[in-house]
Amino acid sequence: MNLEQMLQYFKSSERIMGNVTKWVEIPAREAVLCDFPDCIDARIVNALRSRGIYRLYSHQASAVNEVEKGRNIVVVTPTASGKTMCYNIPVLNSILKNQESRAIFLFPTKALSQDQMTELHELITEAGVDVKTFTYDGDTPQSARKAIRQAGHIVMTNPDMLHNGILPHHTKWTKLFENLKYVVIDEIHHYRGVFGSHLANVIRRLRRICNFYGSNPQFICCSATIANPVELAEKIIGGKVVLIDNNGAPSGEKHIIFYNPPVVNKELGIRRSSLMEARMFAEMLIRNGIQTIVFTRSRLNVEVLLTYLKDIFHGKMRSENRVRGYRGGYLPKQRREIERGLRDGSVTGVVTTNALELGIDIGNLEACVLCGYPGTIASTWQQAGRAGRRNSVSAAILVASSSPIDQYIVNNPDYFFGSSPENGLINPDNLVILYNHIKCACFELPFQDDEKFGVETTQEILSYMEEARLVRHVGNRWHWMSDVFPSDEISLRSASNENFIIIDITEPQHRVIGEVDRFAAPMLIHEEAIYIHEGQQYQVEKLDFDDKKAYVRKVDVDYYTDANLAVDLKVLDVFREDAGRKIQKSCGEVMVTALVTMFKKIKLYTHENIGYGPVNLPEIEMHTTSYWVSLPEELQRDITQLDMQNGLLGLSNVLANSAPIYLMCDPRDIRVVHQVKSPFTQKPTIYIYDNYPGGVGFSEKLYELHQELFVTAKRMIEQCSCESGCPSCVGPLNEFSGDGNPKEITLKLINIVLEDVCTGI
Amino acid sequence: MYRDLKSRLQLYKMGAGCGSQRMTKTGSDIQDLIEGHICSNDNGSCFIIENRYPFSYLHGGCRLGDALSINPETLGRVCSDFREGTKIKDFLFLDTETTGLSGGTGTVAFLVGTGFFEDGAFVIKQYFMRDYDEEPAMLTELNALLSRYSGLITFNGRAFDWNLLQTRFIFNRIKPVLLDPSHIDLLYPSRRIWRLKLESCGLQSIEENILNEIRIDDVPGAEIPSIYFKYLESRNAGIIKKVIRHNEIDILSMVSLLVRISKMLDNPVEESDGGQELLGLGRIFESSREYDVVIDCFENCVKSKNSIVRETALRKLSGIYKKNGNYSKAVECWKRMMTDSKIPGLFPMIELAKYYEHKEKNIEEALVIVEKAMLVCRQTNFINNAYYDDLKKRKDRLIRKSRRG
Repeated sequence: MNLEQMLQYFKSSERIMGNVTKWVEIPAREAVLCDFPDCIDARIVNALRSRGIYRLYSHQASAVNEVEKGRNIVVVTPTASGKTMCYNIPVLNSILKNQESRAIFLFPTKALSQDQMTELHELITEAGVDVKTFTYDGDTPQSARKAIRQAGHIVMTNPDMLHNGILPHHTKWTKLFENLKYVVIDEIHHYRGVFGSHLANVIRRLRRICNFYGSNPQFICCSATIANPVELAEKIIGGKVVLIDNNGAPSGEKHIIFYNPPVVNKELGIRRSSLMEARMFAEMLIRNGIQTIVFTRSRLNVEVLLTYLKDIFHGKMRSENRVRGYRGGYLPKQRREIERGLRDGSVTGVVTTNALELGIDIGNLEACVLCGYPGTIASTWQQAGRAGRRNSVSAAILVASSSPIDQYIVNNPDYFFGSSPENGLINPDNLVILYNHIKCACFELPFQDDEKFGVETTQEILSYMEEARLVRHVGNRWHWMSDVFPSDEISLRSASNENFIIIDITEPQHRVIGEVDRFAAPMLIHEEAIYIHEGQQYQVEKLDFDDKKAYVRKVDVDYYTDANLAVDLKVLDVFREDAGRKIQKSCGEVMVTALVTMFKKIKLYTHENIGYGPVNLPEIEMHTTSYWVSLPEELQRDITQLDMQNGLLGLSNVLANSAPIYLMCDPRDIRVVHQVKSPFTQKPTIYIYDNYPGGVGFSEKLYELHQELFVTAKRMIEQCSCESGCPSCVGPLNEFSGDGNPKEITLKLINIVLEDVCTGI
Repeated sequence: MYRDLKSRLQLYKMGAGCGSQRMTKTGSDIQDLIEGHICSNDNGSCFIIENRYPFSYLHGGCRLGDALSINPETLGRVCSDFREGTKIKDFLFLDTETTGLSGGTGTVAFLVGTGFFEDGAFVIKQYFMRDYDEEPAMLTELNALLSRYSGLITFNGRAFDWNLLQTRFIFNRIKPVLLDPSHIDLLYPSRRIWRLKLESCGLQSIEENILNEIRIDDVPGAEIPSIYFKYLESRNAGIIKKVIRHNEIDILSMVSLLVRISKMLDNPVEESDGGQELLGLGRIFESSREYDVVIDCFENCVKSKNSIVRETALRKLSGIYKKNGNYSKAVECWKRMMTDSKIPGLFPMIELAKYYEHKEKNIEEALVIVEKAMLVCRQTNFINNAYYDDLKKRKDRLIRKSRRG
């Protein structure tokens, strides 16, 4: 069977269609083409022609024109629409006009910059021009660095390297900064939360240095489809951008199928394992020689699924190498071989993590199976985009797991197929992050007395630093006065610089595998916790709280751990508030005191509680931003204290799962707390706070999204197939007391919120 | 309602140790305590200290004036970019004290010490910025001095001091006049000569162990940045005086060190310890391709009591002899290496086997050596080594050859 026949078969199978919640057929799209804009150098045009490109797609032409006009742009088009041309052409063009022009390309990963470099290099060679491009990252040999600093027209690097390797040494890069015309930021939707808040500050530092050398670069950003690409890009680059979304790339017919595994235990709401269902699809597709990519959400699942598939095809396929695994941890040589196999067709099936989601060139496959919702709509489209050929049919099958977000997505396809509700959020003025970057900026160039770094209060912060003996004010300038190299101590991946490091002691050669914020440490890396890193499970054997080190060992278990957090929350400051007739929503600064007393072991997939243990760690304080909703005090008269408790608990659980849908964040990035009678509001109140010191912008957005948030929560509960509550909606029943129906009481509270209107933003 | 920024910053526990009292001025101004003068130019002012030493001044076992008699050829051996016709008087000794050791644009050289020969004396001229805003003036003054020279003599200046000063010039938009100096960085020859002998090849270690110069009441280099920061706040010149003295001694020691190294290069066998140092000197001559001297150095090393020195010298010698076709000498070296230690190394045996097989065509002798080498491999558990496989192949080939012969 070919793919079209296979899809026909699916449609005729009751077993399959009974579980399909949505089948969308996206018709083929013709290309929208434009002539090469006149401004493009003939050598580039000829190079493109010799590659068989005679005209540009509409969005590419718009990008070239807007950049020519001197505007900053953000390009938002689907995967495989030729986005790289939107920056490669203008940048090359500018260098051909003026040999002195320079550009910086930022990619979130090293692998991606290598790949993009190869592509750009081909275009340069084809055009027969002398344009030097280099990657500059941690792997660049010391001996090559000097030449790159002097001669490189285009430097491809990542934010971390810019932050710690380039900006603090700007005098070695005078040629680059004096002539910097373009800064390209690809995959800008990756820079959200903490990482994005840091990047915005790195760009502020970059702009200061450019200003010192007399340059003023234009920014070219690319993003996957999100709700607010312009807002995100403008916050990151600190300037206006023009949106380019007139996609002109052609695409073949595409089928997107939402599949919800059948319920096997109605009472507990347990469904058949998504891994097994994904295996069934993968097996059918691969058996028929249809090139298929399977995305799983963990490394462990890659291996499990791969073993199943290898067993099935053992001896049956011409060669065993027709089904391969691909994930972080594989050797580069092995990876290249698999990528090549996918391009030339010698590999029929590949099972992978999101390692293959970003632009690594593997050609276009026919079918894609997603085992579990990847967490964001943007990621889902990127993964699904791996299957898609211009002239033939392709298909992507999303197999939902039983997690609440997965269930919401498959049951509410409009949410997925409509305009994106996902917001890329950052907070460049997060005081902790900002403060750290002002240190770096001062190291790089002394601050002038009237200078601002993002915020009006820059001078105040500098005088605070003077008191802390980090800077010295003399002759109208603030000078760095410390022998510390500040960027060394600041990781762009975490909010505070008091991090716990995680050391893997599985092998005799210990190695650091990650870091956890001080505030998250008691929850994530208490002794016996299961810590997951790149899909691999580790168990914490020892936590040295004073030295900020956790020692972990690789394990393979079927549960995860969840710390029971006793949280006390105090409102310090209200930024915004709005009262309806009965309820009130607010957003402001809070102090959270968190004490972890015990943890639970929870079985994967079924979310059963299978054990617990004590935790003895000190209390942790955090100042962050929060959004909160208080319910009417009179409510206490209508419902019992017990019902109120159960209702608020159910509401907390469901909000913890519905909020990330809008915030593009991990469920762990936010926390929900409820108080039956809040000392601050004197009413039953539910708080959602940013789980990072200082906050990264989630709470402010939730305040604006208030209504949508509760509508989603309501739907999550109503659409859940369980009777009175399960981990997919209001939480496992054993968390509730009494004999009321937690689903009903939670819905009652939600309705009170929704009946009222908080309009003001 | 919004609490003030300062208390919010404190809430986030940023800037540990802050809020302590500002240091008040406790000591004397620098101009009252240290003989020097305030120098002003278009970019502001800075403090300059100048000291003159007679040629006869003794430091580190030599008279400073001795440096003037170093011949240019010797300088060429320790300076890869040496220019014909330049003399010691064309070089400026340079050493900086900085606000940090990790480099980057936030590190400042607050004290630049220079040394040069002028009007019958060795002059040490130190440029000091009494605060951050004096940097442009200081660099302007330094630039004027640099314009008189075509070369630099430093200790680790290639990687650090000169590198940092170039950054400072760019930073302050001052066009440096000395663009591409020939640079004698004494760290490199020092490392070659004393690597085996000393645990550390830092200037202070060489000073103590080679030049026999003991510093009294010195400040440790690592503390210098914080001493400067304290000075900035307290304006107490008493603490910075030691740093200025430290820098001055560094420059004096560089002169002695240059003299010491030159003497060793002029007469390697007589001026060195005949062992570890001589071996290093031989290597320096190897880089400058003066093979007669190299052979002289290494032949003398063979007499050393130190077995590492002997073995390295023999290995090097054999290589030179072999390259020049002097096989009898080379064979002598290899044989000597074999008898020199209880467990002979593989290197001389493999070389001898090659020699017997290809040059002398003495297959039997070659076989004896190869078998001996294989035995050594087995005894020392080296059988998984690539050498062992090579030996096996060689043995098979020799056996075939012997059958044919």
